[in-house]
Amino acid sequence: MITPLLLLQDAAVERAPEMTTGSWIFMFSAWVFVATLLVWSFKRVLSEPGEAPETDIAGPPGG
Amino acid sequence: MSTTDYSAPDEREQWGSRVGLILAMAGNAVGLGNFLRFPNEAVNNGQGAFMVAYFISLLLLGIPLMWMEWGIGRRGGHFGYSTAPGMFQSLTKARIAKYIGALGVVMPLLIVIYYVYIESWTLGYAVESATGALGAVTDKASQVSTGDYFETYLGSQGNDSGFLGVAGWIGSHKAYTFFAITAAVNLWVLSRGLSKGIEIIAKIGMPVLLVCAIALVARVLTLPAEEGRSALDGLNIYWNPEQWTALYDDAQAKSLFGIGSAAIWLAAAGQIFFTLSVGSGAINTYSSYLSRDDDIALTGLATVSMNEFCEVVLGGTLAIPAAFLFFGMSGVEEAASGSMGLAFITMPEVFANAGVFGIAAGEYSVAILGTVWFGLLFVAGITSSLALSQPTMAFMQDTMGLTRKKAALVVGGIILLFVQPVILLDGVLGEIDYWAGTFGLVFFSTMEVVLFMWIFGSKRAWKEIHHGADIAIPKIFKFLMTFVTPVLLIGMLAFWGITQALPILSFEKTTGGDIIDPNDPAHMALVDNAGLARWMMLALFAFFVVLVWIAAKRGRFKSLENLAEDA
Repeated sequence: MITPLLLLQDAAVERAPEMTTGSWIFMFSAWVFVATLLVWSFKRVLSEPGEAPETDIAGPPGG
Repeated sequence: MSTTDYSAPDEREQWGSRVGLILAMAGNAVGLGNFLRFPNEAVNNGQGAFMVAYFISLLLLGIPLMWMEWGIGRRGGHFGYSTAPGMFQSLTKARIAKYIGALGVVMPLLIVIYYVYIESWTLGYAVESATGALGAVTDKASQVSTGDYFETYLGSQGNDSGFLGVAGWIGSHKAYTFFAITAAVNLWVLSRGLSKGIEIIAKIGMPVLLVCAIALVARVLTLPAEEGRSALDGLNIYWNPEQWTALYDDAQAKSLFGIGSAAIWLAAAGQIFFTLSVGSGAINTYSSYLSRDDDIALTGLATVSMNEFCEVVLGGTLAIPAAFLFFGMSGVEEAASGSMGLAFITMPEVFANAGVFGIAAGEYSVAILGTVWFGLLFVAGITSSLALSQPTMAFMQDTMGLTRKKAALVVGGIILLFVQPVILLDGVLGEIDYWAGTFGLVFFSTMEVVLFMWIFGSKRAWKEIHHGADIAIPKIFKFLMTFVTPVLLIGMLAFWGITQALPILSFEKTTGGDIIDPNDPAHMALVDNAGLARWMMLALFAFFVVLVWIAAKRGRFKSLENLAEDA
């Protein structure tokens, strides 16, 4: 049975979390790590020669 | 079944560009798991503690496995293999390897059977949002809740009452209609091939997805506070360091989250498998279309980083903080208690409370934000379902010799046949998701890592991954790949075997962990449906094992000692 969410609004104040200094540090560390990895890797990828990869097969299997 | 000329290797497909490859690979990884599964898993499995286990799993399991799969795939492609049966056989002399590899064709197909169905809900809801139907439901005067509406949507097949006409039939069969449209779009793209189909969709879809997600995140973070709660405070659900003790303190974990510490670690590892699409065979197939000298170290890392950005930064900042702002912690927990409630029940209500572009909160804001949200989910879904379909497509083309269009028809036929019980019977979707989309990923990854790092050998495997690399992978990863990753995987399987295997296999517990009451008819109906799902999966696996056997008889597979060039 799904409880209509609007009915929960009044009871929703309990256990409301609040961002602490520790939370901010944890979140930004994770975000900076992920964003840095993204920017660094794409920068490297785009700086490499952009030729289209080609399929290269040693020989037909089987037969 | 027609045969093909195996002596024409240049018929194998290839990527059009490196950027296209990265976007297709990222599209494979970025899917419904990033925006739906991740928030649910985090809320239900340790919250702040989950995130620590998540990042550790990413480093110890996700990234090493990703590099291994790229390596196995590119090496397989070099010998003309696009799927796991040939790839596995090329790594060892043991003849059984190709049959184990059949899992790398069956599992993604099993996943895509239900994945396309869920993907079709997002398309259906995007259309319902754009046409105002969803907005009308969220109106305060509406007699129907978004939960009822979702249940009606899913149950909207087979409710015929006399002649309905085409429009009437579609109206009463929404779930079926949108599934048919979604499946047809998938098959059409697949039938166009790699560079003209999948790659084009990825090149258009991924930027669209990023723009939509960033726009929604910006809206969520700028929403005014409600009753003293802000969306930013909702972020604390993921980032609370005070919950870290639950990672090792079992009693603390149980008192805070109702689950033990081990469950937090297992859930985080499971999410890493699902989100990176490792263990499904899809990465192997995509990377098989690379050249022998193409980089995989940097390219693989780029796709992982894009996936993590979409999951941790974007996916984590959307649904949960928005739900928290309007409905508080109770609302978040209620929404996350069902696997799809957050996306399809809570978010429409969030949009009904959030104005946008000067438009007051209400039906119009649901139309705008709902279309963007469900459209974003659809794009995320289709890029993943295409990747999950490609191993079977490639197997049918390269191993069984079908043309691309015939292969698409076979894949479509299997999906259409097997999706019927998924749509019509309770519990079938969950059962397939458990065995193929959860347990199967870990099992297949274990097979891969043992085969690649231990049997093929860590020295050769490391050399293979580094061949043509644009970056030097830190040496610590060789140690992780050789010892830590396989030991962790085997440990996870052993833990499952000891604690879960028997009750689940004997139907004492559901795959969701609920105790089955043999006196409850509803429970026994679920057991029947789960049993049917297991037979379906076994039948499909047996079918592909037979196909592999036929292909082997035709001389399609060469084992390690017979390959001219040992990478």
